[in-house]
Amino acid sequence: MEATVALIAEHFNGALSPTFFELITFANKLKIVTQAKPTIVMLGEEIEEVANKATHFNGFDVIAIEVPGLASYNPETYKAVLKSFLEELKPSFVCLVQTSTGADLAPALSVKLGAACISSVQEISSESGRITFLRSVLGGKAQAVFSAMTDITVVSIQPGCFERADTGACSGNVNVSRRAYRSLRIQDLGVRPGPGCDLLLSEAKVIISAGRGIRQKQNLALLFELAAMFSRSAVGCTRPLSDSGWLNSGSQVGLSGAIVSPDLYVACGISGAQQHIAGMQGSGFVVAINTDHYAPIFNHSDVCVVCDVIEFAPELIKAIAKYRQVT
Amino acid sequence: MRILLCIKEVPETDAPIMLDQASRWIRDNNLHCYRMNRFDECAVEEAVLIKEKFPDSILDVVTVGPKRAEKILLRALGMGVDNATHILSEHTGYLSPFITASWIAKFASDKDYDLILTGVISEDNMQGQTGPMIAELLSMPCATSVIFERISYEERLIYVEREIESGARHCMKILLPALLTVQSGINKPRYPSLSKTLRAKKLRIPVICSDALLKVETRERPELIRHPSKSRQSLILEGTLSEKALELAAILDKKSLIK
Ligand SMILES: Cc1cc2nc3c(=O)[nH]c(=O)nc-3n(C[C@H](O)[C@H](O)[C@H](O)COP(=O)(O)OP(=O)(O)OC[C@H]3O[C@@H](n4cnc5c(N)ncnc54)[C@H](O)[C@@H]3O)c2cc1C
Ligand SMILES: Nc1ncnc2c1ncn2[C@@H]1O[C@H](COP(=O)(O)O)[C@@H](O)[C@H]1O
Repeated sequence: MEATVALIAEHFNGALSPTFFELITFANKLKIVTQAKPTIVMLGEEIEEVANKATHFNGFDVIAIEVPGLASYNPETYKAVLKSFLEELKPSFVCLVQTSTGADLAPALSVKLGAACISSVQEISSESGRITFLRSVLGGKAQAVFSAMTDITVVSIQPGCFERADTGACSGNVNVSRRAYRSLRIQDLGVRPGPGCDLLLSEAKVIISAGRGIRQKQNLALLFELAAMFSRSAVGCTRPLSDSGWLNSGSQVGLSGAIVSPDLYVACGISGAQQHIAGMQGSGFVVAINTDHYAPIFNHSDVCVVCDVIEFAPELIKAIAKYRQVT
Repeated sequence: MRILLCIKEVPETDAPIMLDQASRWIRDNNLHCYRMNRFDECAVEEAVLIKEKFPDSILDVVTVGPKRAEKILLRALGMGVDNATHILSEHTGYLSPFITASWIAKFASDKDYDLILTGVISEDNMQGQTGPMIAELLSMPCATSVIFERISYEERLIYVEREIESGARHCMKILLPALLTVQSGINKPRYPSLSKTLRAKKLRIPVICSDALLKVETRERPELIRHPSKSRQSLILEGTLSEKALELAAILDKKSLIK
């Protein structure tokens, strides 16, 4: 039997998730090294229309499983239905995106299938038939290359690492089947919207962003002062700062916060975990200030300043003021 | 309520780390400073808050790790956890979440926990797998990235809000027993109290040898570990503070970023 790769596609309110296209890019890379045939797998209540959308521009077949009553993601239903389905399909790889859904599903599926599980994959490569997956570890301080030793591997990809690629118009087959499952232990109560991104932050041309390295809440004043040196600027932050209430959650930049792309992003006392990088990597010019020479943020910066941000910020304010006087 | 907390020691992330090409992982040595995974501190805090609401609750904490990891168990006891167990593993190098989860699930399998809490992710391994795997191995329902919970004990239900994309919240009701992975922001972890810490230091924390629990084969392994590649030019400024500041201002000016 021909080997298959199952791509678990997410959708919401009749639309494909934006990360779906990254999964397709990844699948095309995997296809080159495995020769296995990718098949898109989707679950849902009224699934046919979105299943038809999923096959456009990639030519992969879609297996759509209609589950009555499954209006949105229910972990119990998804795991149970996918398990029985994947046991029949016997794919060599099960691929997901490390979204909140993918992160919830991947480890459970791997246990059910006796598969290896490799999360948040950023690159795929193959050497003499051995397929390896690169991922960040230790907050981005190192990268490790993993391989699986099992017949089935569950892989989740890190959002933002496999760019959407247009592959031309072609469609595969869409096969809709039905399976009934009633979740007994988890009742889905729907989704409540998040705080949304601060208007100031989303429109800012310059973002001065604060991380745990600023140490004390009162030090934020310095960063507001620095931000005031620029027009159309705002102060952003990392998750620990919004967690502790130093800034409101609309100021948080990253995977679970705002995705920003200002002309200038100044990271102050930010380590550069991949969940933060995901929110700011589209910035025009990036400056990072950090005491740790090995801080991962430096790898994603145009200019690196190794020093204490509390000492440096006043100097920078002075220096910028000088330039303003000259010009 | 009987609650199990799973906590992990991680190397301090602010300090330089060393890579070990032999084990293809982060070098495990006593030069690194180890502490409790931050997300696990939130899990411990949440359990202590539950105990404040349901004083009959019993809080157990477990870690899989070397001798050194006892330190974080003491910290959890200092925060208000009742009992600690150390699953001792002197394994160096990469330890698969599946192995850790298998050991913990085996340990928990005969203890009738109503609730198991883990962190959403570990700061070193960063896979976020251990919790959902334990749940699966114990056939428990699981909610990941939980940012709010409320227990209704009579109904044996837990209401949870999972954090999903852009900070939105997925709300669910789950029948106990259940496993939650705890996201930061759910609470503010307390500092250990001195009296509880001193009391904990007098305890003998039971140790279980991981090999005696269960033999599990790893399903994935690291082939290589390396320092990360750069996505930008990473120009490092040299000189005194004010020299660096002036140089940066000059660069920003040249790029027309100062207006
Ligand atoms: C599912 C999930 C979603 C997440 N979403 C987000 C998100 O949207 N946004 C986000 O930011 N994080 C997010 N995180 C958290 C992320 O993993 C990191 O924990 C977080 O980004 C770290 O924040 P930090 O850089 O401020 O703190 P740390 O990692 O503690 O870094 C602090 C840095 O400051 C430096 N420093 C210390 N003192 C000074 C000083 N005086 N001067 C200069 N530098 C100094 C240190 O060297 C260190 O590099 C998420 C995590 C998970 C699991
Ligand atoms: N060695 C361990 N001992 C106890 N709990 C662990 C261990 N490793 C991971 N965990 C738990 O699983 C969570 C996620 O870890 P990980 O799967 O490594 O990202 C952590 O926050 C801990 O709660």
